[in-house]
Amino acid sequence: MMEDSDRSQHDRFLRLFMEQEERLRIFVRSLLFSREEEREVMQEIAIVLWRKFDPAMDSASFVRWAFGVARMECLAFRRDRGRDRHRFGEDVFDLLSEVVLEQSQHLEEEHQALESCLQKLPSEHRSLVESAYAPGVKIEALARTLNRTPMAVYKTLHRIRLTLMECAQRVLSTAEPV
Amino acid sequence: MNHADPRFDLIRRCHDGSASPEDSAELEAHLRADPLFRTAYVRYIRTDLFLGRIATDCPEPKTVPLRSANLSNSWRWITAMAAGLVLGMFTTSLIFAFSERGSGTPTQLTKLVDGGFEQNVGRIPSGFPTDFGRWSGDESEVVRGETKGAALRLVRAERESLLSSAGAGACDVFQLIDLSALKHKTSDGEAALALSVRFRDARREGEGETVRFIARISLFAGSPNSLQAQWPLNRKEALAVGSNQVDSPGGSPDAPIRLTANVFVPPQADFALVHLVAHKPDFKAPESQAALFGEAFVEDVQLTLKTPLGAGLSVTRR
Repeated sequence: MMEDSDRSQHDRFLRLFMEQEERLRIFVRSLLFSREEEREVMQEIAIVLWRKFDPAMDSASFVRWAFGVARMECLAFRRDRGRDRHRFGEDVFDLLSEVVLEQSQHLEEEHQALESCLQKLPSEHRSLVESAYAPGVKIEALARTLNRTPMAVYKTLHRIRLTLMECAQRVLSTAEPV
Repeated sequence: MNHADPRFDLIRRCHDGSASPEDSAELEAHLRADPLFRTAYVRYIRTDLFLGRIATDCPEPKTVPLRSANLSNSWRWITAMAAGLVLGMFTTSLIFAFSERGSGTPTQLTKLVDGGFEQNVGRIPSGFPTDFGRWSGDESEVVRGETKGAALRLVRAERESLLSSAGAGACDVFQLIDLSALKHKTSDGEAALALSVRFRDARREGEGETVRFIARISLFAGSPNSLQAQWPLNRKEALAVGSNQVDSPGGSPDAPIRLTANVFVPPQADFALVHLVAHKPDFKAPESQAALFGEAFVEDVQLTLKTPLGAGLSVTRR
């Protein structure tokens, strides 16, 4: 059984982690590119944060610390697993973490705008999104099913993302109800 | 920033895995030099993550297992949470979008039989199914609770006879579904099947290891007879597969877990295989032994056919 003090610590950690989880995920993806790598590194980050969590930490300290851990884990991952790839310099890590934190004030509004924009997509694009982002789906296999080349699928998904970004920006800038 | 800016294509190449090291270095240089591009880059990442969440969202948010504070192996659920398996932060799924906008009236997809486990009681037939519309698989039994209604109780893993070296860590149950009557709705390759399954882990805190629940739907061409003969060696012959999973540490016996798996229906698909699994990923034992479950339940299975909007939406639901 968990002791009350453990439970309290656990609850506090959970609250802080959940507040930052999406920001951390954005940061990690911006550095590692791939969904699979992001998931793997996020697991490591969560484990390290929980193991070394200090319940006396306030929210601002937790954010700084969590992003520091994320940065280290990404560097370690790239060092161990991506030796053949170009690695971003640490100054770029810092620049990206600044942007992620600056922009995270309005995530909820952006989600609502994106949801609204998603509904405006042609049905075949919504279907493609649902299919391509489903867990475990490989674009190569999906492309075969659709009788298209993987590159064509990648490019269509890219255009969909750009369309959604543009639409969401328009919605947010005009404060259109969503 | 204008989206015709060629630097967006550079982002795409990096994230698709088609970029060269020089491309990656070029991206880095732009990120370092241009604050506006940096902002646009992070926005692109957020949009990509948003789509990932939306596509894997399920009707019942997967936060349920976290509501119990009585978790003994905390790192396990933290791991699951970090893997995106537990947090359902977005409430609108594409399934809802399809349903709400549709003009059709939901009707039963009758080809999935007894998704509520109300037709029979007791042990389901053993082994891979030999015909359509029947649950069968590893040792499992339909039970009726006084308050919780009917459910399929997953009892014990069984070893796959064609996998001689494999241990038995997973309890699998199956149902074959004939899609031939739906061909007129699936012939354009735009229709999708959504499998929705409610699992329940009735173990109390600290009772054993992590159980992984998996809901999977696979689509095949031809006849299921050949599939039955060679299962599971021929599972890779599936035309398309939709799958979703969650790791449960136990400790939330009253909190069901809803998993949804979606798959597009290729025009040549003739039948579907619904495959439900309770798996102990940490189970290590000699070949002769099998993982015991007993407190893992499947309570409700639904299969929904979704056809494209604008082409006369019809939603069929069991």
